[in-house]
Amino acid sequence: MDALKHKVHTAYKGVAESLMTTRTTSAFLEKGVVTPEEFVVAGDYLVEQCPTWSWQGGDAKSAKSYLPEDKQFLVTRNVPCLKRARAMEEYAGKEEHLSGEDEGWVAAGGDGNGGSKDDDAPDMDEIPDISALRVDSRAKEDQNDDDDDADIPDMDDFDMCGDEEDDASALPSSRAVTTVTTADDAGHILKTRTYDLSITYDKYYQTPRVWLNGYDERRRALDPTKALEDISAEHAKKTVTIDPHPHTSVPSASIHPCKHAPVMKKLIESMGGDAAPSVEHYLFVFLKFIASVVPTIEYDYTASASLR
Amino acid sequence: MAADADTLRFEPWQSAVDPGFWAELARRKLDNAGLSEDPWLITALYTPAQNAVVSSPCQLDARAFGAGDESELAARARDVAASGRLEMPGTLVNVNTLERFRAFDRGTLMSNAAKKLVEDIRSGRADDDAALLTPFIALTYADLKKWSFYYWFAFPALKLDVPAKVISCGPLAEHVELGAVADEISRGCEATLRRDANDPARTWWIVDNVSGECEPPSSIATVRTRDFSTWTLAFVDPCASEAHPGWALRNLLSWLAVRTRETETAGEAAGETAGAAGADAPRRVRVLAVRKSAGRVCPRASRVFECVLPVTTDGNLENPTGVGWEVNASGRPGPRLANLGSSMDPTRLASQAVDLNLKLMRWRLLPQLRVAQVASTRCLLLGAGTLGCAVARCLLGWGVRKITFVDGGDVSFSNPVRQSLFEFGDCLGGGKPKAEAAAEALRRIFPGVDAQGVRMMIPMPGHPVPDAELPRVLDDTRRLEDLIDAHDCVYLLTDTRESRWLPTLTCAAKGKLLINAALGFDSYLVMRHGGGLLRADERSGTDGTTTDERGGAFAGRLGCYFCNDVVAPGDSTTDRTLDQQCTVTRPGLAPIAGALAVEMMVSTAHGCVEGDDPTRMPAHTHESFASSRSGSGSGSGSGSTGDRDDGTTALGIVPHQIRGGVFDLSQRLFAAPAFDRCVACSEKVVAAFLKPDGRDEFLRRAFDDPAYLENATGLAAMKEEVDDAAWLGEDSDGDDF
Ligand SMILES: [Zn+2]
Repeated sequence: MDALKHKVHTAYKGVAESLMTTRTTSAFLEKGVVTPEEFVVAGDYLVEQCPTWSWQGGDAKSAKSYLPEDKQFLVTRNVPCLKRARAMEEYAGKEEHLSGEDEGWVAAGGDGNGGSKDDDAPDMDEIPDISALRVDSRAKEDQNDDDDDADIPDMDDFDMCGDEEDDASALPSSRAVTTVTTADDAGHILKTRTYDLSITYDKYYQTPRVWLNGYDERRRALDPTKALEDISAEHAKKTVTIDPHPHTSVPSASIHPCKHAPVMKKLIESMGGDAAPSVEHYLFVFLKFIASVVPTIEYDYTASASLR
Repeated sequence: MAADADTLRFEPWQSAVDPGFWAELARRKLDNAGLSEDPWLITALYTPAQNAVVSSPCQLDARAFGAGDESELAARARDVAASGRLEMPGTLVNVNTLERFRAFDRGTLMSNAAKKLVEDIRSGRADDDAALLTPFIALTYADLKKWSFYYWFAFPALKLDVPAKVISCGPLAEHVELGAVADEISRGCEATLRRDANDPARTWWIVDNVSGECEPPSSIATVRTRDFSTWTLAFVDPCASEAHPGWALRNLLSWLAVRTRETETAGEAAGETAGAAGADAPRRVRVLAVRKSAGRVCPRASRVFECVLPVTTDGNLENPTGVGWEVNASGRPGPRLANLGSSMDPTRLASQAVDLNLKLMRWRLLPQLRVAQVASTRCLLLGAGTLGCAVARCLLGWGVRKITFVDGGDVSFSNPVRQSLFEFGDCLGGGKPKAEAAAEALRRIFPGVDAQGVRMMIPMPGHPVPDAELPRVLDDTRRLEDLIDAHDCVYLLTDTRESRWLPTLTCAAKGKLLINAALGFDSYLVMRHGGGLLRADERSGTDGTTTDERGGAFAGRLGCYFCNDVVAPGDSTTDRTLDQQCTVTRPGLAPIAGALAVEMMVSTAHGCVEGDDPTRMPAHTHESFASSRSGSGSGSGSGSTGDRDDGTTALGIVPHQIRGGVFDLSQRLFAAPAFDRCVACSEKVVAAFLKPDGRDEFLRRAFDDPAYLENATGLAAMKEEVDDAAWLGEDSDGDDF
């Protein structure tokens, strides 16, 4: 989605949403969209089938009137993400996604502004991932060039480390399950990120919308631009934006819903079968689709048997 | 048995702080707390382990501060219960300086927490409120200028004389005794976890070893009076490790040790029963670490630990030791830093959003877009009127950060409706200086902009300077020159013809890119001036001296605003009626022309390789553009660079002049060569301007008498030579161009 369009469109969407009436007639089979009521029905079913997901009401100030106050959005937390989608794609030999200079943010990111010489360049023990390097340099570029970050001490240099506590009962952090470094078959060290995923209802597009808030392997909040590393290249350049989360206002990476409806319509059609799928299953299909966008974020969307 | 037992090791908590938490901390610090360092009571949340890969962290978000009315608190509790999370009570100490943070007496903080734990246990408060056994401390320092947050969490645990030991551990499903009722237990635990958020029974409960039934701990008596071998202590375990329980169990075991020891000691004192094992003898307890898989309590993920309770003495409890400072990324106890500058500081957020939007344009539509180059262009806006406002706003849209206004006027009551940066309030009290008011407005719109206002009248030909004022005026000419030096692109947006002369000349002398916009009643002109004459000469070694039949002045250089004129600029305001003095234009013109001026600069930035002179690109006219498109390369007015490409940039063509109007809604492109007797950009005036000892005199005479310029450039002589009236067809009356 083009940037100015996105900006203008976000503003327009806001106005339009305030004027629009919410969809009341079911059209998920014909158009791939759902009404707020159908969103709730599908959400209830998801929560029942996959209890890692739960409804949240969130802050009352951000509540949407067309959804029940305790069912404003769905959330699943602490979802592991063992490796970067980018890295996975590269090692799967899909570099062509990234190499075309004519399109794609990955390729465009490396136009001589930094690159591997950046402070942000990954440590040697990280996956030697060219796209990641570029993502890093891009993230760096996002800040002002003459950034005053330089005088914030690096915590490694911060001379305030406490004494190691003399405590036989504490498991050393190196042995903690979340920070144990493991290597994959190719010997690359994996750093397990976690994500809190949420699904809101987008009134304008009449589809769900997914938001990602990530944490690194030490559970430090990830800059939202870093979440792009966990989104397949194909989608990262087209449909991912960073916007304030509608219920928490925290800047979050989001898979923009502008193409959701046609995709959903196609997927629902492709399921075919004897009986038309019920709207209850909508979010399962949706999450299956989202799984292709964030292939390494291992959230639960195990479809029930009735879906097949 | 105890001889074989190893020390039970608990996996420490990991804090996971949502950026919303820091934003809320900052808000409270600014709005309420001020410089107070009084501790705040906050609440963190955790869940049982959800999978085998990562332990559940101690999460904090904006709602951790727990304020709000009853309905908000109820809504929060509902969300907590719906997502199966449990609360941890915490104390946050936010100090005012980094030095305070470094030097803070953490030892006392921890020992106070340990004392409180002992009190909560001994007083029986923890019997009813098990969350008191999972306390945490947050020591923070918020650098709100940089939106950096230093923090160090501690999860205080009592360190008892003899630590708890583990005898064996394994999955619930495979447990020799409980395995038989594992499904029953899992269902019971599931139901217990679904209790109301405030129900203390959600933290730990009792499982009957035989029936597998879960019983809420109705009172401490439940565990005191029953034989330890008949029940299992179930607790919500955030830890995913196969061999270790989470930190949450640690104080629970201490609590159990202390409370049951007290029972027995009390019992002994009363002479009722003397436990066969004795008060301080090791006692076994079976613990069920309740963990989930796929969202449900899972008998394979949940683990049973056969433990030996820790042992403590009165002395240990009188002066308890607490441990539990969190390690940082280096794996050692130490503070962490959350730098949210780029993600939460609204100012930086705005900057980032502006840049990101531009970058998205590059990523998705136009990889050749030189976003950074455009954004880093330092722009000098001469004139802060309708055009100045329009140009500035459009520059912001392109991410330009450095914008300087020059204007000598004050905001008047007629301005705000047409000049988009001013408001009614700016007109009061005689009116604010326009340049500074415009800069202020830009900063309000986008705090990331470096906008300045310079109050200055631009010295003009035909406006004689009294001797007394001469030093000041000459000073202004130098100030203007310095300003032009300090910027990359000059926008000429004044409302009289003569005020354009000195900037045109100065830019010509310096080869600086100048974009000129002028308005008539219903027509506009947007043009870029040619590069400096001297620059062109410097290049002429390779360029050749292409002279054409019109006087040899062209030499590939584009003309300026004055090149078409055969009259030097003079005083255009004195003898005019009010409607001629004021800029009487249709209000829609300025936004159109302003936007075109900016787009022209941006296209220019893409028109050549870096280091090349952007003004040297071919200038398109309608004709040349059409012909270059059709492949025949006769670029009239396209300069000496016609043998290169046609000059079409990634952003399209870069014309020399755009003339348009809203009467016939036309827009035409023109290109015109520089005129060798031009009063503003020809060699003679540029040379006079650049001559160090003659400059001031030259300028003074030009200001005093425009005819001087005509003579100096040979324009006067030419006018005499030429009797063709057509030369005089165009003068400066009427429209301002
Ligand atoms: Zn000229």
